[in-house]
Amino acid sequence: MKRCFLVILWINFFFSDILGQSHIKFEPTYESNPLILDSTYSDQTKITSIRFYIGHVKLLKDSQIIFEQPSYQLMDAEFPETLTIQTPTNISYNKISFSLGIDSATNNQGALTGDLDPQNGMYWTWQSGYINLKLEGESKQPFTYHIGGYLIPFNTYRTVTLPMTFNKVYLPIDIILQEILAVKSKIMSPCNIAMKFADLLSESFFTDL
Amino acid sequence: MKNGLIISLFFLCIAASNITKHYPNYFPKPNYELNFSSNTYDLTQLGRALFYDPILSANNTISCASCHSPYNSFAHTDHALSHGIHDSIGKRNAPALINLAWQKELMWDGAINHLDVQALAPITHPGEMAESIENVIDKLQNKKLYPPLFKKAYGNSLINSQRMLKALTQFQLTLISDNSKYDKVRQSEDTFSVQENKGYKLFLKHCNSCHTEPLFTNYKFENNGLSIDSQSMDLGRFNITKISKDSMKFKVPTLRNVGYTYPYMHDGRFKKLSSVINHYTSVNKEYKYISKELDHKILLSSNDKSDLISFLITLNDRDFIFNPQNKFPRKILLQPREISN
Repeated sequence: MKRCFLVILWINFFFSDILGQSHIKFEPTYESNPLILDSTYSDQTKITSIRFYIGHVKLLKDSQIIFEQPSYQLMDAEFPETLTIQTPTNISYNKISFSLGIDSATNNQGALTGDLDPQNGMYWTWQSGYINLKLEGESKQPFTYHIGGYLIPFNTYRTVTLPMTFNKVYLPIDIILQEILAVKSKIMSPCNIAMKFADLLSESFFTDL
Repeated sequence: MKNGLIISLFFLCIAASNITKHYPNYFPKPNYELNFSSNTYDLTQLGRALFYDPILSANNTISCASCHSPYNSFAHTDHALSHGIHDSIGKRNAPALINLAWQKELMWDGAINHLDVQALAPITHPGEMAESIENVIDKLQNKKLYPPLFKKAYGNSLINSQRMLKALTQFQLTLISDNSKYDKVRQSEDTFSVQENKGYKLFLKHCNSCHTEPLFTNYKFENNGLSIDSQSMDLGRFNITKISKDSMKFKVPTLRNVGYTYPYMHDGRFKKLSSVINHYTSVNKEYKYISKELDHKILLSSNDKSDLISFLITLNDRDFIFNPQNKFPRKILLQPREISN
């Protein structure tokens, strides 16, 4: 049985290598471990939902672009397969750059589909614009953060660049919450505090390096 | 030989009708690409069916046309504020849906940036249609009528939000009002009466800087000196930009079909055109961010006011109001089986 499993695993690796497939994984964390939704942590905090748009992923070797995926992907901790971005295997890189959220031009394009379908619940209907990130849960009291906005002065679109040689990008939810909960427990429209939250988020991503 | 000439003339005419402009040459270039050729006919009809079908609302009672009636230039007459599901009353007066291809931002405060995504707002608003996009798509997929209509419009029967929204856009883009007496005068097919002509001159002097011809709006947001509505406390454009100078600014509405779209203003506070004109001749200029276009005092005698109104009535487009192409699509929505029920 065990041998069978190993063979399958080996075949899997073998073929993924032949097909030239690998991936980058975005990993929300809590207390330095992968985040588990709906679990109550030692600080009495529970995360019920974290969803966000990642786009324009670029892998770079020094300043040379090795791999580029210009489209947007809706990442949802409830569906782990959405947290990975497929890349070719046979590449080496030392930097990653990506956007958090949807840029202004895309926000002005009218009805879109796939990950950008307004039906996904990541679109404000009363005022045009994508919600770049949703973070919901409770920590003594419920909190709701819907961070979005594409119009100046509340453009919450952010670009992140990090050194990277392995394939994981972490987002430490506990550290982010600590800062933002002290300020506000509900953000649901484009505004100043949403801008600060977007800054905080974009500065919080980290890699193994 | 003669026959050949007639045939080639016939084809020339067909070719010409395919490239016909859908609006007069004195209109500016629209913001949306207009395509009303024969291959977009089915898309327009799908959008028209969706526009008139209450399936878009939670309890299947409210359609877009409930508040945007063709007989009122697609506005909501007689009600200061539009009402939606379970007779709930909204915050604003439903605007006329005409010449939308020239609009940049939609809604009184410009909250919506593209015609495609406009319908999402009333569909999901708890006081309007109170439905989720997911449910709408689900209902459309399960009503026998729609898969064939989507297939005709798009080549296959896939139904998703993008296809539904783009069909609604297509139908609304066809709602072009350009055949009023004013238009006929501009095209030398008619002439203004003496009174209308006097009114036109007054209009150019006092109104045209915001209600700019030929669309009779500059599509800007302006504070016209109205006091705040104490019920809704609606701050208009400020709600979107959060910039204090935008407080109490609302989009300048078009005056085309103004005779069909009473009551007036974002909250429908004026029932008559004369009340609107009286507002402008007695504007309270103490508001800090009042439009600079209202800096000069508008002085009008009672004769002037009548002249101005007689000009404004020339903006009514009767052909548009009674165009059967814009109306409830009986043939599509009232299938024979449903009638016999």
